[in-house]
Amino acid sequence: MVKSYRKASLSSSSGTMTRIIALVLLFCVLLSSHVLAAQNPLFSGGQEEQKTKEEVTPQHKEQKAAKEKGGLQVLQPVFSMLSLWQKKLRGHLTRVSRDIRSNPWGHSFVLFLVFSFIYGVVHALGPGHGKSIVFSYFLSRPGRYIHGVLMGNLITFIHVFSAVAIVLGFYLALKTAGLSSFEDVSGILEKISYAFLMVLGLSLVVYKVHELKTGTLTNVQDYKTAGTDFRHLALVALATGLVPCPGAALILLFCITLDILVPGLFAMVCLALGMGVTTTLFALFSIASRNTIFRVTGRKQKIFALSSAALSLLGACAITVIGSLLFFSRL
Amino acid sequence: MKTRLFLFAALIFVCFSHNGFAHPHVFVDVELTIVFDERGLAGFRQRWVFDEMFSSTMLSNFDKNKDHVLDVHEIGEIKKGGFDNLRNYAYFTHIVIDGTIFEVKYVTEFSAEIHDNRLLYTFFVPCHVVAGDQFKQVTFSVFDKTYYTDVALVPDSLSCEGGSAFVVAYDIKRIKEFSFYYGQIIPEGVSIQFKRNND
Repeated sequence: MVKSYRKASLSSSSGTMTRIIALVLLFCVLLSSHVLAAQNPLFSGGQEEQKTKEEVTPQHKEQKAAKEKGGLQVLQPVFSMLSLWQKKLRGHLTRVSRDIRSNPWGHSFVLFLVFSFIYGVVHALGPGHGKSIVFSYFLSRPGRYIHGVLMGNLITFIHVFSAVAIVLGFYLALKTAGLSSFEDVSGILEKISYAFLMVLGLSLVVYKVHELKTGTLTNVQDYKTAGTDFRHLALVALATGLVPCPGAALILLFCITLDILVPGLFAMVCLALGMGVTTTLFALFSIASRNTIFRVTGRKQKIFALSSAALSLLGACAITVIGSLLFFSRL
Repeated sequence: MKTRLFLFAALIFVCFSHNGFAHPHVFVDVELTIVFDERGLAGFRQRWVFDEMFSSTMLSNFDKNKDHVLDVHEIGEIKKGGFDNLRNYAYFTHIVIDGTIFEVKYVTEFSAEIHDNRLLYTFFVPCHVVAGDQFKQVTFSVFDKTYYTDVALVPDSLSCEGGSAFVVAYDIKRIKEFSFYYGQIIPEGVSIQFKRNND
């Protein structure tokens, strides 16, 4: 009797802990104020007003430098390593692509595709909002693993091929292949993408509130039989992926300057597949997290209802907030 | 336990994945010279070496006559189209003098060239700090807070010019006070100490 009481008590404590961590997780998404939508700083962007040379004498600002920041810096070695790998992979891509000119479909071409794929996997591991959106999306609604694979790849293919479309558009229409023209169009698409995300996030919030009112969201049976809205999934993927990938644009522009456009297009497919692997992993991770929570809470209707409502609403809010912050950071 | 681990990992991933799409896209190696004049620190001479892929796309725009040499006109165009905007980012140059931020607002002596298929920028960042009898502490780093550009200091290139009248000590290390992106990226920088040599 005592043993079973302890077990029940531990299980309840574990459930509470789970909910607390889940809520912390989502609040971190919501309260994040570091969302940046970076353009190439060499060409555009920046917060300060342009000033004349006379006004800009170097000066000591009455501003104390930040003290050494404490806290966990767990990802420092990871980001350093990712950066170094990307730098090396870019070097390999550059080297083999020069060989492709002399032997278009030989050994170097195969290596070029392999390096493009690996570069995609590593590149997508770096900081970026695609993973946050995928994660929040599947946290906010039921999904199967196959949906995670679909969405992960859809986002990265749209992300890479929107860059390809811009580069090819300029190349075919104007016979120029420049990064600054790409940046101009990219800036417009980014704004559209972020506004689109904001609207989709809001619609998801409204939909979740409606589900909450009708009780669909908080019923275990309804949750188990709920299907996936592919149109909505595709729209979120489109909104997220619409931002053209500068990494893809750089590789393709480089191929154009070397006059190896067709191998470059094959490399784009490999790059998208590589990035798709990483983004898919985040989607699967999110689906697994949600499933785990509901497996634990599903036994008790009240706890299930609370977890389901909290995750769904906060996940939807996270997409809205990420979209909004990105959008307003670009105004 | 499994659930908690799952959620903790999820927390870590979500917290650090909010920065536009994946970064970085441009890689720069920075070669640095610390320059002294008769009064103390005069500034920093930087030589930026861009990665070959980025260099190639830049040069396809700016090396108009495709002769792999940048003439005065082409350098002017590069400065206008691919450098001047960095003023909005303090030229990625971050300096702290005895605990106070020194904001870089202009640079001088800009030039660009092509070497081994790579685009090079050279420029000078004026930063005058008069040497005294006590050590002055200057911390210097080059990094892009937006993380669009990955900047790496080349340790072997670090040198000091005109510092014979002073006691100067410097070393390269990760500068925690410059950390960005939730403190998860700690850039490398140079910590410099100098004072007048009274011997």
